[in-house]
Amino acid sequence: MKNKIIDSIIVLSVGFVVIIAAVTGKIIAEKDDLKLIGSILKPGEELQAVNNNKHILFDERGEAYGFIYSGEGRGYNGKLRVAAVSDTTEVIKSVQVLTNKETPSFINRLFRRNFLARFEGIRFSELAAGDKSVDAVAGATITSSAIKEALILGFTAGEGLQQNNNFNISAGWPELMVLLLFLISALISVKKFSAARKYLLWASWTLSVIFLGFVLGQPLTLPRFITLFTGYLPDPGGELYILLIPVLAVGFILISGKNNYCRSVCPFGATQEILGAIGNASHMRLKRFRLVKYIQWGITLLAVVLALVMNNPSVAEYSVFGAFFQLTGTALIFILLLLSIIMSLFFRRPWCNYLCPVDGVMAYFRTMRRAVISIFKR
Amino acid sequence: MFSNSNILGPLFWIIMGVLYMVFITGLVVWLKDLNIKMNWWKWSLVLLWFILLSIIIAGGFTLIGENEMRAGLLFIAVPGAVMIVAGVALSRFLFRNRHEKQNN
Amino acid sequence: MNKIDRRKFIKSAGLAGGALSLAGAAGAGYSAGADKDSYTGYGRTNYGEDQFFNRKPFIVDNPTYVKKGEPVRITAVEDIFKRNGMLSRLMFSRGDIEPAWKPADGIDALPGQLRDYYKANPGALEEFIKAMEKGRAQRANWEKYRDKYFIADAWSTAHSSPIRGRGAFPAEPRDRPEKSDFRGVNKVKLEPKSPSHASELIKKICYSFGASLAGIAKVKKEWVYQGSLRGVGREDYEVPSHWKYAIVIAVPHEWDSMYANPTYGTSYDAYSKLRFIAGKMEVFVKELGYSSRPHVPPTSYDLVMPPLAIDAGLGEQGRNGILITPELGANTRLAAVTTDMPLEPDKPIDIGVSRFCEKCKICAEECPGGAIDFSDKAETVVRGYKRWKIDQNKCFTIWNSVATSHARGCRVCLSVCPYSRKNNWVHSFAREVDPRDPTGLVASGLLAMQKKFFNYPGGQEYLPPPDGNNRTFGEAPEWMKTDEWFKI
Ligand code: SF4
Ligand code: SF4
Repeated sequence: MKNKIIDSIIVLSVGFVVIIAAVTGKIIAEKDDLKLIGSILKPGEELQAVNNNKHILFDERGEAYGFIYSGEGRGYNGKLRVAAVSDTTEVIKSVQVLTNKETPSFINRLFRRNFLARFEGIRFSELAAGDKSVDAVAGATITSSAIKEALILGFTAGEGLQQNNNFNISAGWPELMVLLLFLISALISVKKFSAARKYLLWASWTLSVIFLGFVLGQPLTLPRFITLFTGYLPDPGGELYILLIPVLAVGFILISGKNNYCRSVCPFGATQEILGAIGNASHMRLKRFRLVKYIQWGITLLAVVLALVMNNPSVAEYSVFGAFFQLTGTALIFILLLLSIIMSLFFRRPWCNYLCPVDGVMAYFRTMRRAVISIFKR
Repeated sequence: MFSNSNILGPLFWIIMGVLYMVFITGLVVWLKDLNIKMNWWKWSLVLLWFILLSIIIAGGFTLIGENEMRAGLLFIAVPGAVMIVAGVALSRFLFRNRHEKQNN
Repeated sequence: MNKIDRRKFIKSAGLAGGALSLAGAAGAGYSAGADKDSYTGYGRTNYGEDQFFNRKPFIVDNPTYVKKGEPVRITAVEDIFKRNGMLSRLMFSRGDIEPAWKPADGIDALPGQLRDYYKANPGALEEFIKAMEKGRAQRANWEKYRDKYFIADAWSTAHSSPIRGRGAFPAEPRDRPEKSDFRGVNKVKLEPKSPSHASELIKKICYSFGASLAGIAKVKKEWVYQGSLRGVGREDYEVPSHWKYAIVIAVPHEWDSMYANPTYGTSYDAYSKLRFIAGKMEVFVKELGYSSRPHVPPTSYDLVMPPLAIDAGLGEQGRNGILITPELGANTRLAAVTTDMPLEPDKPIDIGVSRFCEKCKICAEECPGGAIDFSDKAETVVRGYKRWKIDQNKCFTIWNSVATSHARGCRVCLSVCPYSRKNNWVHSFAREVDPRDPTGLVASGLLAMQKKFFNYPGGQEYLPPPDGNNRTFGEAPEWMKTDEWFKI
């Protein structure tokens, strides 16, 4: 009885804190567009708005010499605003990202590799018609196409052209793979298949490490939850599976109370299991380390609140997944990763048990389920 | 090596040779005391592991010597992690055989 | 000593020995990396040992560049230095006289050749004007950066001294080639035992003069300039019949400063070395009784160097438009001496550079000007040959933008190229294994490591603030850091 009350209190108070944080983040006003565009002008240059997406650019002698088109694209963590200067014949002269919420290491990869410069010299109409394009940068495909999308939308809206909203949701092997992994995870829980449990687990782990981990590089992370919570959906045309994962993971936990995702779908969980098998790792006695568990969840909550207040989900990224599967991350993250790998050989799932942010989120949903059920039972 | 001296270079490699000898001798005794039966291919595996580890460390430090700190550390860390995992697997394999031998 | 103790001792000594040997491996590795002797070239040996890569297994009959359409000789206006020179003379006339051309006059007011070029290359003229603007800002900003790059600038200027003015060596030809190339030729002329003897000797002499690499090519008509001939001036001409063979020589830039491009490095160190080698070679060949004519940097050429060097088997063409050699990578600078001495040409090689460049694109990502082509395959047809397009004009803008005292180059694309690496065991492994691997897996693996492990700041970072942060690719050598030596 007492436990049930505590459950409800935890669920409500954490939910309250998170919502307050989200509201605070929204209230802190977004920067005014015109000011942002103004920041890319050279001294002496003037702007005149045609509409929200198009401005005429005047040089210091007051002669119109080009346009600035600005638009929004759907990035990985949120919308990003992009402005492009063109000459009077609509040939792109320079491109700038005005605001974004992407993980810095990802978007910096684009900037560093001259991604924006690759648009220079292309005519807007060719870009919009798809006659000319720019290859996405490996490892930052969603952000790459978001910038392209923003340029095209800015131009079509600025010129009042028909926007061809090709909203074709396409499912390919990544989506099938995610479904397969969750299917296996469901089978594992079925009593009838308990004999095959071991094989199912190993099949799932292997598939997950290879495909979700190394090929797609998209394990579930905190920013993903936060973007979904704030109601932002990345471009569903391209990467449906990154939506599928959190939905299924949370769905399973709310329905069955079992954390199917962490057990067999998460590629880094699988990595730890495989390493544990190699090193014949022992179980950790969790009871003794209860405090560490609370610290783990506390850090997750803190990260969520910070990200929401700052209105930038990428702030909450502190997992080692990127470092392991794509070799990106800070020195600290790499050290954490190395420690996790070595520990995994001797203890089962050290990352999951003491560091992973997803664990906290899952625990929260499990508590929520418990609390709701207990209320109805009464 | 030792660009200012033509004495230290050969000396260094002589000492390295001695170290390898001492290491192998110690390893033999160690494995005996642990009751691990070795044969030619187990020795090959163990030595291969050690040589690979040496190469990885030497390679990483070469990059560090070239002023490529980040590359050098990653060069050690990434294959190094793989080597640690392989090392644990290898030692488990050797120990497993020991138990079997004792049980028989 | 009792037995247990001895066993214990051997065991712990073994453990310590193992650990120490790993530390020794680390030390040996470190010194292999730090060793300045593992820099290729730069006059370390007079016996050709800088050309250490065994080219034999990679010799092919036809050079690896791809012909498409009719070859066309390059005209003066297509050469960025000559073109910019012509335009500058119109725009910045000496004295008080009105400039002959102002940007406001428009392209149509330009004289023939220039007008045709800028019409055919939209945006090029604007780019030049932008470069001039950037150049003004560069000179105005120099005071801010002067102290930091004080030694680097002095070093560069010192290297440029044999290049400029009347004292330049070798002297510019002042006659038709039929005259100047034969001026001073020895009346005594010995027959070489065979062309291959002659080639071998000439290459040995090249090395003794300080060349890192040397090769012989037959002069192909399409590599010769058209419409402007040194010693004669603007005129169309047939390739002189005595330009039979070209002795092609290559040297690297000083490596440490080259890695610290764009601001610490210079072009002039390699240029002046090449001028000395080629100039001496001109005299040497004439002393043997044959005609000769040196073609030296920065602009004293009548032939285009990289394809000539490819013919001579020195290397292959890279995405960055630079000759890439197995020994020096993209840190290869070229000069040539044309002669009628009977020589045996070398054969071209195929070490898979273009296959590697198709995947790599590092130079395109790192170029501060975005001047290097990103397309997968070399597809742009330039004068009858396929290549990756280099936007010379954008490149020139960067020379005028980076924090140097004046526009004296950028060369970031030389530094960042994975082929431009030291000659030590780690890189030699890559150098030897990659071209022997027909599957391309080694290349992909090496490239993944290159991109993931190494620190590439990214093109924009090399520019001065506000665009970038004056980054250099590698760290400057301590002898170039002003604050180590001077009170500032
Ligand atoms: S020299 Fe600099 S600007 Fe020119 S192509 Fe190379 S990297 Fe680009
Ligand atoms: S940096 Fe890469 S793409 Fe560029 S020339 Fe070198 S190998 Fe080729």
